Amino acid sequence: MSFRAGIAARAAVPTGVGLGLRSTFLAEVDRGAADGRVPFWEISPDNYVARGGSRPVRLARVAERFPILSHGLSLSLGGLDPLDGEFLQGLRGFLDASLPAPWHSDHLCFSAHDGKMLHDLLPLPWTTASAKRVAARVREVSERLGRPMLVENISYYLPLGSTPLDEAAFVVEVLERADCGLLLDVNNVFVNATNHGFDALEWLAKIPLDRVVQLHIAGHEFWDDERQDLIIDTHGAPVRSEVDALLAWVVERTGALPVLLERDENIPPLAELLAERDRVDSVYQAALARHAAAQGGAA
Amino acid sequence: MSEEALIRAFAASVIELDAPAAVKADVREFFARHGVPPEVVAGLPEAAAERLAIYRTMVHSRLRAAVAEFLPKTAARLGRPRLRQQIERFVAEAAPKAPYFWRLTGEFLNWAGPRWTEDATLPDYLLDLARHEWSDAEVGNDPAGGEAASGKPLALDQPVQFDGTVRLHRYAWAVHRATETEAPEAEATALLLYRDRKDHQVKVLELTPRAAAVTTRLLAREPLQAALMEACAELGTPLDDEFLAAMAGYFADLAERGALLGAA
Ligand SMILES: [Fe+2]
Repeated sequence: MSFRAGIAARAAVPTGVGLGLRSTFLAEVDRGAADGRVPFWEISPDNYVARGGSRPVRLARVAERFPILSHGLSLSLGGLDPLDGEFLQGLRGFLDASLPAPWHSDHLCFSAHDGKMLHDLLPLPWTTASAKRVAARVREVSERLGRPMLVENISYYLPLGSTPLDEAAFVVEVLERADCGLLLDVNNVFVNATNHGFDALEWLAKIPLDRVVQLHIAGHEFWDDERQDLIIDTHGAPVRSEVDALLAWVVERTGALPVLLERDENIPPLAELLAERDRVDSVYQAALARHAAAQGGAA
Repeated sequence: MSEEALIRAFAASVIELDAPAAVKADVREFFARHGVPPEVVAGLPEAAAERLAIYRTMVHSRLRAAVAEFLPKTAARLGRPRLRQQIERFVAEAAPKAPYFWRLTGEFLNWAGPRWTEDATLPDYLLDLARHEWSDAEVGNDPAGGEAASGKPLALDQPVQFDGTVRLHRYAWAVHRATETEAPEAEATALLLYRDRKDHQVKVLELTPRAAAVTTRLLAREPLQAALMEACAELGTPLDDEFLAAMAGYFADLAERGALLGAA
């Protein structure tokens, strides 16, 4: 079964602009503060697996009213350590029991080494050997989780390849070898293009858009020290217009899909985040209208 | 293989204590020492040393921020430079192992425990204070809790059933009365913690020496009568009506709180 068929077979795929369900406003959302305002929530199951207390109880109630997408941080898909079997088992148990999520996603990076969990998204070398190894792990994870996998392109500050566009080639090679989907983070593309001096659209043009299943969009900040030439992907600020433009470029070509507005730091009050979501949604809806017009024109 | 060597070198730059100095001195030599072939080393960007330093800072700052968030009073007493140094040593010597970010502070304290106990430059109470601060998250997030009650009334020849989150912590300092600015006083302290079954908040009860001695035994699944007798023997107090009445009141309070569920 192709990854698309695998996704279609599992659960209805929400579309539109959703938000990350953060603990700072989980209780508010549970009480209905965002009902009718958000088409879906994205959660990181790593924050729920093997954890009791109010979180799982609240999540279960939210999941009754909203579609939930599953996005992890800890699989270390590109790491050299063996996959963490106990974690995968816990993750699968949680996903099976709690969420009809259509897929699970994680990053094209390594996060652990030599048994040490570094809790960050560290870059991989962009070589074929590396792509083969990562793709085999993505396939294995997909199998062990019993659901399709998406991989996400990361922000990087030290390129481990000879040209910036090697990253796009690496991403494509992983997607094809693993037969998985892409969680395309357009903010990361923008951050990398700015930091490493390449054209974001040129990068996007190398990506097979039929593999793009979900988008991430976020704001970012300047690194707060003397190295002002580098922007850091902190997910801690409102989205910039250049990133809006990349979102629109993709949606005009793909049509409807789930877009997640990420905010991980400096999380504003829920009302403010909902307003930012509405603003991004207007960009998304306009792009969708252009997509529909182009389809109509082509028909 | 060169890509694996690159990952190893990258990880080492984040983990090893002497990596910052080595990277700064000669980043190409640093990569070469970790087995990265010369042609790959030659292709690394000019700014490689600076960028590795940024990654190291990002990883360590995130871990430090999490520890400081869970242990605000402890972090304030350690101070930023000392906490930063402790995190660096933790990453180099042990590091987090669990894929769950929230557990990192507990892993840090497991590493810090024996070291802080022996470190005469740190306040004597610091480890107790840190453990007490962490216990809120530990109990609040405990996967246990909310178990169905056995439905059986307490019986002298039976152990008791507590909610799965109940635990007893003993400290040499009155850590629960410490503030951001005031150090705790030296005072043997026994705290019973549990997570409320309704509002999911962590509750802390300060126990008398008698209640603590009994609870220790009950948590070790001793039958009720044996727990009462041995507690009295330990404290050298008579097992009299006054003691039994006090314990009956204590059990009734725990039952009302949903912390004590009946006989096991
Ligand atoms: Fe992202």
